[in-house]
Amino acid sequence: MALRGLLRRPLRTFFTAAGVATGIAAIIAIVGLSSGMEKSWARGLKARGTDVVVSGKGSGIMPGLIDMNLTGRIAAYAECERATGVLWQQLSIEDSSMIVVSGREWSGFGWNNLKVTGGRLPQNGEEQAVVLGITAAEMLGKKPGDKIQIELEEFTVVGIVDGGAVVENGSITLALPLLQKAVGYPGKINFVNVQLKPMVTETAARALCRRIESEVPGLRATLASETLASNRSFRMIRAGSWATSLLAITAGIFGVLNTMLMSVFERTQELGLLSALGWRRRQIVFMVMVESIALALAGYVCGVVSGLGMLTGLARSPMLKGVLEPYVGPELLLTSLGIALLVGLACGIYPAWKAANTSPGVALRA
Amino acid sequence: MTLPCSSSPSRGCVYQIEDLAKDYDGGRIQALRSVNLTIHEGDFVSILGRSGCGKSTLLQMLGTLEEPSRGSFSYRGSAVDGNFDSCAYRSRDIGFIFQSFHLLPTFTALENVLMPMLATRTTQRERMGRATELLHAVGLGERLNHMPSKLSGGERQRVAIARSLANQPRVLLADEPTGNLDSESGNDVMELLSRIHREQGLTVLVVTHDPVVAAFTRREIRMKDGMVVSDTVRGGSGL
Repeated sequence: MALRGLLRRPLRTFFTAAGVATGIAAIIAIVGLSSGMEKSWARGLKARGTDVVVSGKGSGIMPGLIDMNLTGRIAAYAECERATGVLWQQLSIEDSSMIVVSGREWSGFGWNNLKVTGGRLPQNGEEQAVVLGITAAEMLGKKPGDKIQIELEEFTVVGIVDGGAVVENGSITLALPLLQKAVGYPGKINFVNVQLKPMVTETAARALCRRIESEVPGLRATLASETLASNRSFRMIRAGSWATSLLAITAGIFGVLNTMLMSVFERTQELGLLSALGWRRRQIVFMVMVESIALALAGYVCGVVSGLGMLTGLARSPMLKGVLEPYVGPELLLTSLGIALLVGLACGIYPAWKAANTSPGVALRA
Repeated sequence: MTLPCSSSPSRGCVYQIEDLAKDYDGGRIQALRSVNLTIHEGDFVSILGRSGCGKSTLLQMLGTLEEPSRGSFSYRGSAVDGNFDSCAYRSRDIGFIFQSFHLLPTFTALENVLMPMLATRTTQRERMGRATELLHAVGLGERLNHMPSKLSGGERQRVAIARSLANQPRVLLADEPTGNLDSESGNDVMELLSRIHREQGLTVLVVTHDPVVAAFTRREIRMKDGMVVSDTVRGGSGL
């Protein structure tokens, strides 16, 4: 019966569901992007074998610079197997938009995960050479032997590598001192990637993070999987993502509420008739609520499909390709389902109450 | 509360109406003024009068679609007041027939007849069987899956009659059942109501402004300006 109510005005139902779908699609796409950012970052760190990330405190996504000598101090902690300094920069390379350029200590474990798919790795830390992740090579249109300009320095592309994660594959990697020189930050890094000893538990790793933070002022230490989530700027991005998405869903809420009210007003006589035929208030309330929830759920399904489509398109766009992989986990799908159900429930309550409380005599005369 | 029937006929008392009144617009419009009536089991009654005389208002109050402003009435001895289960009464005890049919336009004839049964505890199988049987009984066996828009006025009213019988009520309340029909279809509808009354022994109240329609009934209550002005039984004495 609820379905018939919705199909009575298919165009209105379609556009109302489209309003909810827009909100849900915004949640899926925008929050999916920020979740993807978090996941991509975590996967990149995992691919490099990093358990704990130590970085300078800073208000941006990219943490503040720290002295590279701190690497040794971090490595001296008993729980640490080894530590390596990394300088990460997002730079505009030649005609391309921003690309991650990663300077890694030549002797550090940061090179171990790179599988050469073409060419070779640099012969040593002094060779004026870079390797490109497979996506970065594709984006830049470079192959081994080509020259590449990073800031004012020219490098030779000596190899193409598969780093096992989207961020890694979208990066340019070179020896740390070369990048420090190119960007003008000699002796500086912004991350110390730490590999812990095998027996160190997660609890012990967290305790180490707290110890590092208290003993070395100006540093932030987090588990690799939580690095981005604990970043203040990223938390703001994520909050902004939700806020934008919820604004979009608010438009959907008004759409559903308007449609349900219109539907109830238009069917005043019919609802009065059902009451005259002996339907109880709760049955009428139930029917209107089912209608409202069905409308929101239809919007949810369309929203998820179009949100995933938008995400796929964004991930393939030149702007984001190689930077992050979108991530839509079950928790995001369930959260947006919960939001859609709430929209349906919230928008159904008043029209249902209105429908159930109209005197049948008055309704039949309407 | 159980109320006694004022008259004591051999048949049971269905409605005992006492000083029933209905005002609208803060009392400026008195649709019904102090109506006293007794309707007995198996009565076939017409309530006759001009437009605005209060006959439909009376029927709506008997159907608990409107609340009286003053006065009271009882149904089978039970006072129809705040403690009365109007939903159960409308679902099980009475069947409504309206002038404008009030069929749900997006549902077939069969589905329209099913509607009252959705308010009761019956299985889908039982409901389908009963609705099909009723539509056959009113001569619409070939029109089960027709939408109301594909039916003539007379056919729509027959669907409405079938719907009114869905939950096997004891009383039929028909508000101008022929008002939107041509004389031939109106005649058919009244013949059908007469047959239902005769065969099933239902109490039938028909509101009409048409003496021809009223002629089908045995008892004729005339109303004017919200009051009962006459109450006669054909072939018998006035009540």
